Amino acid sequence: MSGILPTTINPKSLKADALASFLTLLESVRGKKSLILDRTLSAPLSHIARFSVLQEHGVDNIFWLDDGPQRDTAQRNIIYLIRGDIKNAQAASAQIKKLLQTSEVEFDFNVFLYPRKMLSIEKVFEEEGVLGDVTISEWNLGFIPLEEDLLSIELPEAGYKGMYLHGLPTTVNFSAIALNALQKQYGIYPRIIGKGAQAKKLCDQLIRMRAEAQSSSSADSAATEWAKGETSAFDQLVVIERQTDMVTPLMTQLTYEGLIDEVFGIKNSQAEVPSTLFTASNPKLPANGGAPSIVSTTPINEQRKTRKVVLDGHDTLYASLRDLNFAVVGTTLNKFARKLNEDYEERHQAKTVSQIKDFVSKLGGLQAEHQSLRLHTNLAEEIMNRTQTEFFNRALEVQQNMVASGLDTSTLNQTIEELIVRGVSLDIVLRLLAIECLTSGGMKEKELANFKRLIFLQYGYEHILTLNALTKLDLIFQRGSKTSANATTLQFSSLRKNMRLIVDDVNEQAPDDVAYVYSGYAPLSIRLVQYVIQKRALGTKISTLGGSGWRGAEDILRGIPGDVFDQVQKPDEKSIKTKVLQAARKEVKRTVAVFFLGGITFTEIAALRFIARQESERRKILILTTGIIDGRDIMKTAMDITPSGVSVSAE
Amino acid sequence: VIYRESLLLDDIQDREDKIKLGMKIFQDSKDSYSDAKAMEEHAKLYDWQVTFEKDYKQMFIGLTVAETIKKLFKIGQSSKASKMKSEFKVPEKMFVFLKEGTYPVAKKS
Repeated sequence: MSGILPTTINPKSLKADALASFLTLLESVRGKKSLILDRTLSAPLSHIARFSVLQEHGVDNIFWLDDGPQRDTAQRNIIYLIRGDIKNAQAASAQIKKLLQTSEVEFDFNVFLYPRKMLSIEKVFEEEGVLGDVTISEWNLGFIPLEEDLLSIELPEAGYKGMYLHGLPTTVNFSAIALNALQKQYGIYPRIIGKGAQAKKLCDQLIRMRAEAQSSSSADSAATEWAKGETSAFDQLVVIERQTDMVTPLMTQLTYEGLIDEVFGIKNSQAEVPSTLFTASNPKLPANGGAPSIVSTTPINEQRKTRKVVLDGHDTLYASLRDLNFAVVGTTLNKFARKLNEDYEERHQAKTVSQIKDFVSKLGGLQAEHQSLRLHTNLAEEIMNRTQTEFFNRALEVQQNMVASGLDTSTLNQTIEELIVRGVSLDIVLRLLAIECLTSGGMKEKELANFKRLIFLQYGYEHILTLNALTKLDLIFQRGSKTSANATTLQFSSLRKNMRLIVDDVNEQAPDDVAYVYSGYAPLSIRLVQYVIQKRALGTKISTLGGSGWRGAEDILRGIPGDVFDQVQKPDEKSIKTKVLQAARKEVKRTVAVFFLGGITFTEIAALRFIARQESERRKILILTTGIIDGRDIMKTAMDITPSGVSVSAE
Repeated sequence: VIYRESLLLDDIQDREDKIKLGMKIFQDSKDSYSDAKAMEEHAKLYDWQVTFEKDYKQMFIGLTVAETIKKLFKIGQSSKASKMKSEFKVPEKMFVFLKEGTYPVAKKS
């Protein structure tokens, strides 16, 4: 416990810890058991434990919570592993009640609440009259390592919906718990710096949690429980709230991984792609019958089946492709193919037995690479089919024009109008409208009314609700009429200049600026991060300011909604003795934790990795987030409210 | 805003509840003007669709205005489609696209 403090964050050990804590929890219930799982938790769980591991620890079978009461569950022990919300609690207690009534077998119910026990949940069980029959405990997973440099809490919708649409505090609370756990393990964040109203709340909570821990426990246990500040693995924590930059996630992502997400959707490092991509041995044959003009915008699923592919850093080819701008993916694939071919050719040089042996041992790896090459060639081809459609390019053009100039909205509006008229899928239209509102400070009343009418005609009147939700989210609004009183409007045009958001001469082949990810637009969120840790990237005007943290930027930051904060956490007094260590610490590269509250896009991840590579001499960057989102997810949060399905199924 | 949500939910579920729909609009009209108008149109669309279903023995309810017009073209009722167009002030452009969009389908069948 009190041993040497790790100076770097090791995601693998984090994973192992998470697994261990989960298994102890499982072991706390003796004997064989049935696990009833909240569907949204299966993904995070699958990151840390495989089914076989669960089996070894007595899990006999797994059911989904929403599949209803279990038919003949063989096991007496039943574990509910659910997210702590009222709906889940009601479902669980109803099932328990039914089981208690219908079955003679005596059951042993355990409810594990994620990520913590809550009074309101216990209340539900009490009201249902089953509180006496269940044991309630909590399970907190905290951050789940998705990649070496990327940890996520994996909240549904990245916590975005709860935080902004419903105004729930849970996203901030869960984030605070997870960040605090990390801080306990690796040492405090010597400095917490950030932007955003919710981010500020998060920071306050973190500081309060530490203060509480310090005052409540005796000095001894505090010292063991909390890593000593001076040896902290962290350099600082940068919190960027999603709301400070909504433009970025609404833009069409242009990195390889981003585009896979846009086209197929990536969930928990898995994408569902048409299985034709696997069978088509001849990649020359496009999956959709060679008709380039096919309208692929509406999600017609036809009868073609989909298959899940795991996309993560273990696939070396993918690791090298994922963060590239899509424009260069083709050539990279080509290079890789050539190299692979050369590797295969090596077999001709193999003369002696040992050389042949050597080759054969490599063969497995080569075949895996070969397979991955085929997959990514097909994927890239499929994406190409989509990106070459007229709609995609029109939409992209509108986006780029809006962020780059935003002046002449009337012609852009005409394009959007035409897209609506021709029935492009609604989320694309909404994204464009939202970008326009955000970049130009709202839409004129008449224009907005016109768009609304068109949308209702084309997509149905139920989207009255969708648009209302979007107004509530401050995404689509009228000029000069902000719904939330305290929110400052994004001063996009001045930011464009001051933060160098538009980079004209971007080099996609050998990127020298993060703007490469959007072919010319540098994400505002990323610029904010750079402002804190890499000022020189922002051009001479800012790099000469020289202040640390936000200093000197007050004027610029005022143009972005949300509070600014910069807090220093002092180490414990006791640990000041460890000053000696402090000297040694200078040698160690410390980690800057960048936390995206409310979700991050793949493109932003790519950009952060890009910065990390540039900064690798000085520091490490650890990306933390509540989840990964894209523009479609954001629009879905608004569209979900609408009772849909009727209009689709009618045909 | 909140009861507007619940009310709209209702009307899609029990489709026959036309009257409720009318009442809802009445309640809403004080609230925000353009949304109320949209609801009014929704009710109107619903009325049309009910008659279409009776006349052509086909599913219409649940479709959007655009989809309805498209369907009308498909079953060869272009005069009804034009009527819809003027009734809902469908822009010429959208109308043309809907009309064109139906041709290939018509050829196939």
